[in-house]
Amino acid sequence: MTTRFFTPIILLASFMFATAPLLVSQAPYESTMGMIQKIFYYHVPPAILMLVSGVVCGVASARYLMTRQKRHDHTAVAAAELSLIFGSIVLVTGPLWARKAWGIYWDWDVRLTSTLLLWMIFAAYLLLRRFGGPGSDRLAAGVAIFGAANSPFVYWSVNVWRTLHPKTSVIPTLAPSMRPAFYYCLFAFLLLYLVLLRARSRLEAQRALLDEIYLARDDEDR
Amino acid sequence: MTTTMTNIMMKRLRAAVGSLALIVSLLIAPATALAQQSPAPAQPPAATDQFVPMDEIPEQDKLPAAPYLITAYAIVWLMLLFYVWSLWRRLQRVEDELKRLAPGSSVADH
Repeated sequence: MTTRFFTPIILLASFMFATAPLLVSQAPYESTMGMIQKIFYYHVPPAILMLVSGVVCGVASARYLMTRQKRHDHTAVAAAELSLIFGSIVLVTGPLWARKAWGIYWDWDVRLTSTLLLWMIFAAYLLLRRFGGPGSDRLAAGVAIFGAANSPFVYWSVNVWRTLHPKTSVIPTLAPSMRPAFYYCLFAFLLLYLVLLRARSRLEAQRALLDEIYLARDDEDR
Repeated sequence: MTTTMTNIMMKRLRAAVGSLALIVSLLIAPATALAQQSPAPAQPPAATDQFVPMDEIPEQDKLPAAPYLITAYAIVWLMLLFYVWSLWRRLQRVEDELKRLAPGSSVADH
């Protein structure tokens, strides 16, 4: 299964990510920032997916707490891990862009700080799952709901507080010549996200199956 | 009894103050010597009190964009490739173990 499942992922990801810079290079320079603005195409899609993944994790965790169906828990773990991965991309590409555009790598403004906080919530979720012991799944589900509640706040924060970070109006008002590259990158990241979410959920399901087999063997030995 | 205790406490206090003074003097002396030896720091450029457009900034003050852009793209690539590889390894390990434990049995689809 592994090879069959991962070959299309790697091929698709390789193709889309190999061709994305071609589209990005064809997109025009932004008038005030120049070349550095092209980080936008690899910064905004992961940022959107980080927030989406946070909400997916929170919803799946809430459903797990309500129904106790393991598949929701598997989705929640997968979404939390992906939120952390995409969040890491955002927290690396953002400061590199900021260094050139603002002259500093980091500023404790509300968008940057709340993004870091969200990243830390999902890091805490995964640490809890890893080291929390029995019952940590329900405790972590509670943490995930807080993370999901934080996601819209991170998104909307730039419209409420004065920050260095651009507002949410950037994407709706994006220049038409920049849109193909942006939506191509967004689609590439989205596709990759969906496939990784599926693969990571499957890994969690198989780990649970493995645990069941070991428990059944222990019972047989007794 | 009380007088003895007070004397002991005073002695300890004096010892503590003495030690502190010694540490402070040891720290200050090299710093002062260093400050006397080092030349006067260069004056920072005069601050601007108004907005300076990007194209009017002196060439030596401009940061090159390409290294930041290339680094950002390279890091995204490396992080994603590393994650896909790590997921693939973890999945393969679990599947191998499942096969070993239950030969012939198919793994239930999630």
